Amino acid sequence: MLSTKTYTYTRDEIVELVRFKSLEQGHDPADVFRNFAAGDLRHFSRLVEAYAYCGLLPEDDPVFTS
Amino acid sequence: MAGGREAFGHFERYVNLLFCLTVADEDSAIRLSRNRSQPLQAVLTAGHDPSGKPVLRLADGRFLRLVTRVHLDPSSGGALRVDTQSWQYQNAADDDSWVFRADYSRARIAATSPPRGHLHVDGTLRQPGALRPKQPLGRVHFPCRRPTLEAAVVLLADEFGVPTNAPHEVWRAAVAEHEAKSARLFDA
Repeated sequence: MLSTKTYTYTRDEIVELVRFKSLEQGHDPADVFRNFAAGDLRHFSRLVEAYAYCGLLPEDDPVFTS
Repeated sequence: MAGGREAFGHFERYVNLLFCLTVADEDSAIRLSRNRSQPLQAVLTAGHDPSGKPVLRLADGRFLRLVTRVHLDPSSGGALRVDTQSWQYQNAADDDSWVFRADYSRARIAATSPPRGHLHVDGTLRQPGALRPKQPLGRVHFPCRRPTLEAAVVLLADEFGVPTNAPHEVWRAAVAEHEAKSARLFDA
């Protein structure tokens, strides 16, 4: 079997993960949060991991409106 | 695969088995990420390290980038649904040397956005002038239904010749059985 592992994160750790994955692709995390909240998944292929982690946050998380 | 809270574990084990039988290198890894206060969501990615690239090493030495976000649907007894998915066959772990990619997003998106499910192929058309000026083939969105993980495995093994770990008749039977089942589970 392959190596498998489950990570359980806090809300703040997920926000940091999205920031890291966004910056890694050269995108402003604030734009990524805003676009995800608006359902606008632009640059989907580059930001797919950042958007996926955004989906682990509740829709009303303050990071989507700040 | 059962629904409910156990579904994420079943999904992780299923993906593990699917790639073990088929195209994964033995040094590959997958991981499941969850929010401790959002129990209905999970992200499955390839790779050992959350800060690294989400890629699975394949038996041919190339890589499959894999990211899938799923949720449990309370309105259907906790069935697992795919929200977004992307798999990409690429030459190296951490550069832009991709060959093909499949993207899917369940969310309702703007009318000007690409189809929810679509394929990209990096290459060159033999017929000049078929694409708009300065439009590379790799930017074309070929529409499709949700591209499944099973489809990725079959494409890699049967069309691109990636070696498999189990004999063809073994993994093909397993994939056929589970593809129909997972379509019922994930696409409703």
